[in-house]
Amino acid sequence: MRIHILIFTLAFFLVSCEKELDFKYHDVESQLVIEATLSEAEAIVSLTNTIPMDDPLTVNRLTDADVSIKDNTDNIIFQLSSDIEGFFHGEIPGIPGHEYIIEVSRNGKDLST
Amino acid sequence: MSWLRAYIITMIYVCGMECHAQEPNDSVQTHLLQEVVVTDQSARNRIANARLGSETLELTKLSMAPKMFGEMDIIKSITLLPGVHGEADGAGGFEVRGGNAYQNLVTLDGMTLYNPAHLMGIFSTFNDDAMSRAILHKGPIPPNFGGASSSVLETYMRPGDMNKYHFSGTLGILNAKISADGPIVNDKLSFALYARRSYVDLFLKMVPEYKSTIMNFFDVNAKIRYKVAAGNHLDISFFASRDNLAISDLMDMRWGNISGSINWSIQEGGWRFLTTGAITDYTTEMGMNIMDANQKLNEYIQSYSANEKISYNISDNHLLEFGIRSELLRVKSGDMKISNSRQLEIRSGWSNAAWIGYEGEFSSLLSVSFGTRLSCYTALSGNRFHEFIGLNESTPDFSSKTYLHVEPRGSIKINLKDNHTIKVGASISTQDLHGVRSTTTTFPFDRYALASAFTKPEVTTQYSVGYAGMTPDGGWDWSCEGYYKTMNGVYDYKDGVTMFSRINLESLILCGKGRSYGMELMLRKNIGIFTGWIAYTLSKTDTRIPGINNGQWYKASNDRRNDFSFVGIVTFNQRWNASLSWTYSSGRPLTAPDEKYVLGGETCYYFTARNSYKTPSSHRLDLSASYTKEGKRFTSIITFGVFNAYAHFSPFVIYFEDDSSKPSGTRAVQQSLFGIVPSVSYTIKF
Repeated sequence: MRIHILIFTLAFFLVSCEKELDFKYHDVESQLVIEATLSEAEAIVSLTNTIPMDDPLTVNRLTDADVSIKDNTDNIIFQLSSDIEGFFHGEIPGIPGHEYIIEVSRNGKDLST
Repeated sequence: MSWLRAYIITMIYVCGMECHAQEPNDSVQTHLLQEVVVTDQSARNRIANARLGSETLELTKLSMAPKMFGEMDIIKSITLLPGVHGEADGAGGFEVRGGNAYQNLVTLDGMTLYNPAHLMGIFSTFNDDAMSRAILHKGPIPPNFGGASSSVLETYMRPGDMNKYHFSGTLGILNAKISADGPIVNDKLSFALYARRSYVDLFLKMVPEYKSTIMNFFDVNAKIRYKVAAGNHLDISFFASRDNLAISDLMDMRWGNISGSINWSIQEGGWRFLTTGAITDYTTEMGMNIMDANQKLNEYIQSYSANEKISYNISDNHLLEFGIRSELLRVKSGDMKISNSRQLEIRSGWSNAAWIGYEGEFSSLLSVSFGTRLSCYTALSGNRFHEFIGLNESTPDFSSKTYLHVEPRGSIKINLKDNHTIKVGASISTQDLHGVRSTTTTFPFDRYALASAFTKPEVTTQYSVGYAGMTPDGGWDWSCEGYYKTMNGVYDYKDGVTMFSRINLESLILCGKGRSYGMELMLRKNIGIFTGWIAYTLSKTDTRIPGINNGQWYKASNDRRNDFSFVGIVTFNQRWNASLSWTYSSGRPLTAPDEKYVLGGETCYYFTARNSYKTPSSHRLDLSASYTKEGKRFTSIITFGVFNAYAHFSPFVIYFEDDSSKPSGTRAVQQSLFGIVPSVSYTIKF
C-alpha cells in the first residue's frame, strides 16, 4: 500500500488585530465626583464633575458648594472652606475608630455618604 | 459484496438505537468510499416530523459546508441554522432561541458533556469522523430530556464495523486525526477508536512573541459494541478531551471532560428498551504566577446517572415512551489556593425524573406528540455531600431542599395540503445547574451554581408556532417558525463583584427572570449541482433581575437582533466539491461607560445602565474546496479552506483607555481574534 504523504505547511495568518472604534456615547446627566481624604491632621475634599467621553479630561475643581464633614460618633460637624486651588480644607482630627460622613450641598442637591 | 452487508447491518443497528417514531428515512446515501452515512433526512422527513423545532442534522450535508482545518464541525454547522447562533469569536458555545450556551444539554451516547468547545472555538467540538448522527431540539424539548432549559443536542458515536476493518488518517496544518474501527469477533464484537490532537503551538512558537505559548488539545472517542443477539446489543462508550493553554510562566489553563457510558439496547416485538449508565467528570484548572504569588484555581462537575427508556409501538402510527432517570451531581464551584491559603466550595444534588410521552398520527391530517416530565431535585445536605472552606466569610446554607416540577410538553402538526404543514407547540423545562457567565461569552472558568436552598432551578416556558412547506419533488423546502419564551430563576452576578470576589458563590449572584421572542425563516435547495440554504432569525432577549440595572429590564448578553446565514455547496463532479458560507450577526450588548472622571490621578469610567450599548456587528465569509480521489485500496481527500476570506475583524473584546494623542484623551479599542486564516488538510482512508 503506497501512502502519499504531502504536508503543506503554510504560514497561517492568525492575525489578532486591534483597531480603534468610532464609538457613539449616550448623553447622560453629569454627576458630581467627590474625592475626599481624611487623615489624623486634616481633611481634603475635591469636587469635580464627570465629563462626556468625547471631551478632553480636564480637572475642573468646583467651589460653589457647601462641604462639611460630620463626626458621627461624637456628633460634631466641621465646615470646610475652599482654597485658591479649589480644594476644600478643614483641620479635622481624624480619630481612628470613629465614623465620619461627608455632606455636600450644591445647586440645591444634597449628597452624603 | 461485503460492503453492502456491512452497510445494511450498520444501518439496522443505528436505526434501532434511540429512534423516536419517525417515518423511516426514505433516502439514504452511501458516503464516498465504504463508510455508511447514518442519517440523511430528506425534505419530506423534515416537513413530516411532528416534533416542532427538532432538527436531525444531515451530517453528509454538513460535511460539505466549509470546513476549518479540514474538519466538519457540528457546532459551527448548527449555528448556520435559524434560531441558533454561535457565541462571539473566541468562545465555542452555541446559543439557541435567546438562551445562552449553558442552557443547552449536549450528550454523546448518553453522556452529558460540559462546556465541550475547544480552545476559543477555533477547532470543532467533536471529531466528525466519530459521529454517526446528531439531533438538535430547539423547540419543545422531548420529555425524555431534562437538565437543560434551552435546547438539547444529542449526538451518537459511530460503532465499529462488525465485519470489516477501516482506517483513516488526516494531517492538517494545525491538527491531526486518526481513526480505526472493525471487528474483534466477527459479527459479535466490534471496536471503534477515534483520536485527534492539535498542535497550533508548534507554529505559534515560530513567532517570537508567542515562543513560550502552549496551546493544544486532544480528544479520544472509543466505542465497543457487543451484539448479544439480534436486536440486542451492548455498547460501552468512552470520551476524553483535554485543552491546554499556557502563556510562558505566567499562566496555564487546562480543562476537559472524561466520560463513559454503557448503553444496553433490546428490541423485542413492538418494545424497545434502552438502559444507560453514564459518568462524566468535567474539570478546569488554572495556575497563575503573578508577582511571585502562586495562585491555583480548580473547579469540577461530576455527574453519575442511570437512565431507562422504554418505547412501545402501539401500532404503526402510535408510539408510547416512558422512562426514569436518576442523577447524582457533585459540583465544586471553586477551589482557590493563594500562596498558603485555601478556599473552596462543594455542593451536591440528586436529580430524579420520570416521564411519559406519546407520538401518534391521526388520519393524514393530524399528528401529535406530547408528554410530561416529572422532575424532582433535592439539594443534599449530608456532610459528605458538601464542603466549605472560606476566609472571613460566613458559611453558606447547605440545608436540604427539594424542588418538584411538572413539565408538560407537546406539539401538534396539521397537514394543510400535501406538502404544507402547520405546527404548534409548547413546553416547560427546568435546569438544576446554572452556569453563571462573568462576561458575555462562556469561559472555561465560569462558575456553576447548583440548585440549593438558596438557588432555584431555572424554569423555562416556551411557545412556538411554525409553518413548513416544500415543492412536490423535495427540491426546495422552506419554514417559518416563531417562538416566545419566559424564564424564571435566571442568575447573574451583582454589580461590582467578580466571580471570585468571594468563594461563597451564592453571595455573589442575584435571581430574576428573562424573556425572549423571535421569528426564524429558512429556505433550502436540496437537488442539483448547487445546493444550500438561507437562514434568518430576528429575535430579542431581555433579563430583569432586582438589584441589577435598578431592577429594570436590560438586554441579555446573548441578545442578537438579527442573525443571518447563507450556505452554498457546489458538487462539480465525483471528485471536486466546493462550498461557501456567509454569516452576519448584529452587535452584542455591551456595558460601556457614559462619562469619565479623575480619581486619585487616574481616569475612571462611569457606567449607568447595563448592556445599553452594542458592539459592532460581526460577519464572515468562509470558503472551502475539496478534492477526493477514490482508489482501489484507499481514498485520499485534500481540503483547502479560507476562514474569514475578506479578513473582516469582528469584535472579540472592547475596552476603553486613555490616549493622549486624541483631543478627548480617551479611545475605545476593539480587539479581534481572527484575521484571514487559510488551511489545508490531507486525509487518507482505507
